[in-house]
This record gives sequence, structure tokens and C-alpha cells, in this order.
Amino acid sequence: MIEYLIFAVFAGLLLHGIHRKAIARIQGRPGPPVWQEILHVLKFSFKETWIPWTASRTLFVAVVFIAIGIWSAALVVLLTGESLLLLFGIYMLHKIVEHGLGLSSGSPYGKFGAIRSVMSAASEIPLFATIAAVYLVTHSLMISDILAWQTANGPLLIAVPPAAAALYIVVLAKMHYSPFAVIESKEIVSGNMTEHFGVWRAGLDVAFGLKTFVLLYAFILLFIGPIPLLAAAVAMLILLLSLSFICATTPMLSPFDTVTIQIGAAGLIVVYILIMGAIL
Amino acid sequence: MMSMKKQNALIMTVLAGGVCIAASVAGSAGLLPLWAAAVLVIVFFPVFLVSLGLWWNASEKEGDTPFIGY
Repeated sequence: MIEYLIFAVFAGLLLHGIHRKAIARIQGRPGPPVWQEILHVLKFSFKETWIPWTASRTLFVAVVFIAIGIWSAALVVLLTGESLLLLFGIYMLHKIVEHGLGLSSGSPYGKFGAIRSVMSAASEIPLFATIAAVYLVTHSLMISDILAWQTANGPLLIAVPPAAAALYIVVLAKMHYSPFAVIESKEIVSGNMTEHFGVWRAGLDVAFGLKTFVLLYAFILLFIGPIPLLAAAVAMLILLLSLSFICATTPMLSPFDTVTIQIGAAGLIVVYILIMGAIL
Repeated sequence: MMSMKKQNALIMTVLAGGVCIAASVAGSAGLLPLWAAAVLVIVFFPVFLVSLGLWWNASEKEGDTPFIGY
């Protein structure tokens, strides 16, 4: 199990590096090497580390452990084919991490990031719509059952494309440099992560690398189905590059527009689910 | 004091890493239920990572007076 976690950490950080490289190339810049995010983690872990005087010490440190822990748990849920609701619950816990990061620091920039995180709770609504649509079609929320359904009936991407679009928006919302990434917008320095430096930032980068790997892999498993590892890696890469393209060409939205678009998208999918429910 | 911190971080790293490896092996071999192995790995993996960083980060000598601005 630990071997899968270590693999996912490095793969997730590599995906972050590819994301940055792709964005840079689309914007006509050379960009950093693809392994830059792995080097970042090493760099941060060698930096001097302490806890700011104004921080809430317990929360400031605990939130790093929680971030790594929940995304490790999410990977285990995916690999063991457990319930999609567990994945949804972990995604909710990530919200607490986002709040905790900013609020524990005592920095006004961190607190702005945390408040924006509360506002951007709208990004969870499309995830709820995804789960409802998947349940309506497959009659199960167990990932193993969903995979078995796809083996028998073909990819859910074809059966319920709006549900896939909803999860795509969820994944996009959590990517670095996303148009929805208002919690780490540059006008508030690094947002809710501003005061976490040194080993704390290295730990957070590991957690967010895991998160990216889990979300991309979850998308592939839920909407394309059980495919060989190499094919899954290629599919994850294509998915990531499509996200990178959006991130590179779309400016960061204002918090108001972020919420409006996410709720709007979720609303359309809810209408689709209601119609689908009436037909089925 | 500083070397004490470094030693404590090393002990934590070794213990947490040991638990992660032992739980993974025991889970794979069927000596431990899979859910129990998963819980142990999920709890101790973050401890291992953070302690590892704190271990190689901790200095064994007292640092200079920090720069506090002009």
C-alpha cells in the first residue's frame, strides 16, 4: 500500500510539473522543467521551518497532516473500489483543510484565502450532481460496481456526458492556476498557503500532488472505466493537458463569477438529472 | 537542544516509516485486515513525511541571530 502512495506522490508532482510546462508553452514561455515540482518539495523541505508568532499553533501544523492523510485515504478508496460517497466526504474534508490553512496562519492574506474558500464551496455542487447521475444509471455508489457496469455497458462518459462535465469542472476548480483558483490568487500573495513555508509547504505540496493524481485517476475510473495502467496514464495526461489549456487561456475569474459559473453549471446538470430520472 | 530535536525527528521518522512498511506488508500477506493496514498507513504516512523533512531540516548547531531588518 505504501508503494502505491509513494508512486502517487511522485506521479502527482510530475503531473503538476507537466501542467506548469504546458501552460507556459501555450503562453509562449519556455516554462520550468517538468520535474520542477518534485524539486520544489525537496527545496522547501530543506528550508528553515518554524511556526509564525500569530498562528494558531496546533491547527497550523495539524492541517498539514490532515491534508496528506485525507488524500492518502482517497487513494486507498479508489484502489479498493470503495464507495463514491467516501470520496465525496474526503473532498468535503479538503474544504476544512483550505479553511484551516488560511485561518490558522494569522495572516490577512491567508484569511482572505480562507474566506474565498468558504465562498467557493459552490465547486462541490457539481460533484454532488455527478454522484446523483452516476447512481441513477449504475444503481450503485460503489466504485467497484461502477467499474463492473462500465465493463458490461461501456464508458459512463458516453452514457452520461453531463455528469462527466460536472466532474471535469470539479477537477478544474482544484487545479493550480485554474480560472476558479481564487483562494490562491496572486493579489493575496499565495492566498491560504501564504504563511506555510519550509517543511509545512513541502508537506502541502505532497498532499496537493496526491490530490491531483486522485482526482484525475477518479475521473478516468468513473467515466472511462477499468483500463490498463499505461492507457490510464495516457488518459490522465490528455485530461491534464486539456485542463492546462483552459488554465493557460482563461484569466482567473473574480470570486463572484467563480461561484456564478459553478452554480450555473450545477443547475444545468440538476435539470438534466431530473429529466433523466423522469425518463428512467 | 538542537541535536535533541534532530534526534527526536529521526526517531519519529524511523518509527512512522517502520509502521507504514510493516502495515503494508502485513496487509498484503493477510496477517492484518486490509482496512486496519489502510488506517495505519493513512495515519502514519503524513507523520513519516513531515518528520523526515524536520529531520534533515533540523540543524545540529545554534544558528546566527536572525536578520530583523534595517
